[in-house]
Amino acid sequence: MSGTAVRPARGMRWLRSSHVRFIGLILLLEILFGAALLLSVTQLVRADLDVADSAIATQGRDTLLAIGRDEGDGALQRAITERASGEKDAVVLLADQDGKRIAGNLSVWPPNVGIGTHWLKIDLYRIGDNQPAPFGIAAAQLPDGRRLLVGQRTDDSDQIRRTVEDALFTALLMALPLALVGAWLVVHIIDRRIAHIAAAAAGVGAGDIDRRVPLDGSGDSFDVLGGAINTMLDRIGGLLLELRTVTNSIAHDLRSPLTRMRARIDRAMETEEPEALRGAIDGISREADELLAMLGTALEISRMEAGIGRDRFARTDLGAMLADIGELYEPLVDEQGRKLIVSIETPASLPVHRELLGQALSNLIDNALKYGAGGMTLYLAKENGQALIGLADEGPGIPVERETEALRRFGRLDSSRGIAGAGLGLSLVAAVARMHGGVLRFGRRDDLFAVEILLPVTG
Amino acid sequence: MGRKILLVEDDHTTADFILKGLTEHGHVGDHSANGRDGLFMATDGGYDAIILDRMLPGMDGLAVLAALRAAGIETPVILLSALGSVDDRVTGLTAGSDDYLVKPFAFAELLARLELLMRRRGSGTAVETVLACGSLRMDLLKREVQRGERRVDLQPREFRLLEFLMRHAGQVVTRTMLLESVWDYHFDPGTNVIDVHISRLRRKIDGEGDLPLIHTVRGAGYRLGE
Repeated sequence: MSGTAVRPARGMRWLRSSHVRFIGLILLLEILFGAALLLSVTQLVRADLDVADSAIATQGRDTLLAIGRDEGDGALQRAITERASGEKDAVVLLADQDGKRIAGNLSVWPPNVGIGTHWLKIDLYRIGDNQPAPFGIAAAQLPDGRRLLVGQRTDDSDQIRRTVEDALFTALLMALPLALVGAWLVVHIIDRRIAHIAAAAAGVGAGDIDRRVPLDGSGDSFDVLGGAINTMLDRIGGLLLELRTVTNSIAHDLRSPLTRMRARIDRAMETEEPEALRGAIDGISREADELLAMLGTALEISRMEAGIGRDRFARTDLGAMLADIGELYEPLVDEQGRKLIVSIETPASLPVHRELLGQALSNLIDNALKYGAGGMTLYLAKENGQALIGLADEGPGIPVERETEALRRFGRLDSSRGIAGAGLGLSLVAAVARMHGGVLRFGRRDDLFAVEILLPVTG
Repeated sequence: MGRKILLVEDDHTTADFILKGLTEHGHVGDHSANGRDGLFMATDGGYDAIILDRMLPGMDGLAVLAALRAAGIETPVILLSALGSVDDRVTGLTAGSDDYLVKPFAFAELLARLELLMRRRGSGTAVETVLACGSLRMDLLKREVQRGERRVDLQPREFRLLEFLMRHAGQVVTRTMLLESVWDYHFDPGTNVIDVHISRLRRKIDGEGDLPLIHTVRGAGYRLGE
């Protein structure tokens, strides 16, 4: 598998650019929004104007009907004639049952107008007009069978409607380039913020491990992303440092047994005595075992750091486990004229990797045997709801001012140089603690130096 | 008491080293350099034990083991592996092997484990209530130990340690075998933790004027016997 991602054909690649997509999306939204606005406003205006026009027409018709009913036919015809000649925008017609004109400014009843029409928009030629004009009309039938048609020109309303539509359309057209500019600006802002993050990532990728994303403290998504990336880079940096330290410490620790082995081999090659040869081979074999054990430990640590083995966690009675390990080491400690006491203050039962935790406890006792002094106490206690496993002894321990350094590097401190494997041993304990979600720390217990593992109680 | 043992191992240096050792100790060793042939030979060979490398060309050691067990062949198997982590060991043991040995190893360790396995198969399932070796007697029901006429008081763990040695009397048991069987831990305690337990036990068992029963086997471990 190669590391390069599959790319689309060159010609269409620009379409995949998030810039083009983003700007396209904004434009599309703008157009959709504009169309919706245009449609709804014109509909509203049209309906509004229609209501007004229709009111004028029906009012005119009703007035004439009332005149005819109240004041007689003569008055009606006078009123019609007056309206037809007096108002230039009016259309009015009184016709007989067959549609023939009796009075008004229409020559004949329009064939497509029903007798009871309440409201209709229609183009009409009035007497004397040389071109049709739009009218809104209302019609009615008189009690004697004649017909009445009254209407008003709607040019003005149409004009208003067109003006409104034109104005809206122009406004939307002008908004498009604005939206384009806005979209470009937004893309530009995003680009600039991303560019900081990309630059930091590229810098780290190119080897500048200490490079970080500059944060503006605004707490927005980019700031949060930058912060998360910085945390990740810190973690990676920490792991790298740890790796380097462990590698250095292994290289250093390997050098001593290898040098001793080399010396033994040289001496063995010079001797002829079978007994001396035998002794030399024994010594070489012991050095080889030590080397293998160190390599094993280093491998175990790297596996733990990679998270391998978490599936082997099983709920374990830590008190019983401490007692077991204590019992395993008690004769050895005793033989060196020292004491090992196991003290279970608060029993605890946790899901742990029994073998690795056992190995860690064994390393703690081993370290205390090599570097500590006096009686040891292996204890199990509780602190802030967490299980605390510790080993205290009466030795000088690590000076307070060097604890941080020792915890960070896990390298051997100078004062204990010459005795192999301590750095690695403590590294393994720290790795076991981390694997269980806990930490390794140095502390004091009743004024005695103690190395402690703090394990969170889960479930 | 020569036994027929199958070795499936692709590395020729290791294979020669093991085959030579087996012959020196009176066993007959057959060798296969890949998993497929190894499986074939194991299926119809009638071996007393199989030494199986975990990483093999053609067919992986664990796959060979799985195929053997699936075919109902219960020949004891020791897995050899360069994978030495605790998890690898547990995986190997749960996959159906009877024992697991990490490369590089001392031949004495392999031989001790091999003989232990073959003895275990031979001994059947009869429940023993009394173990004896020379003038040493262990009553498993009363949990009492006697050396000749003298009663020996043992701590519970010392009792289990001695019981393991007595059950494998005459055989070499290694330090790691003791740690695994008596303490049920598979890690390497590094220092001579087990040696001190043994010397304590020895002081209690082999008193003044007694014939020593617990012997140190150089470069390998311990052996109980006259």
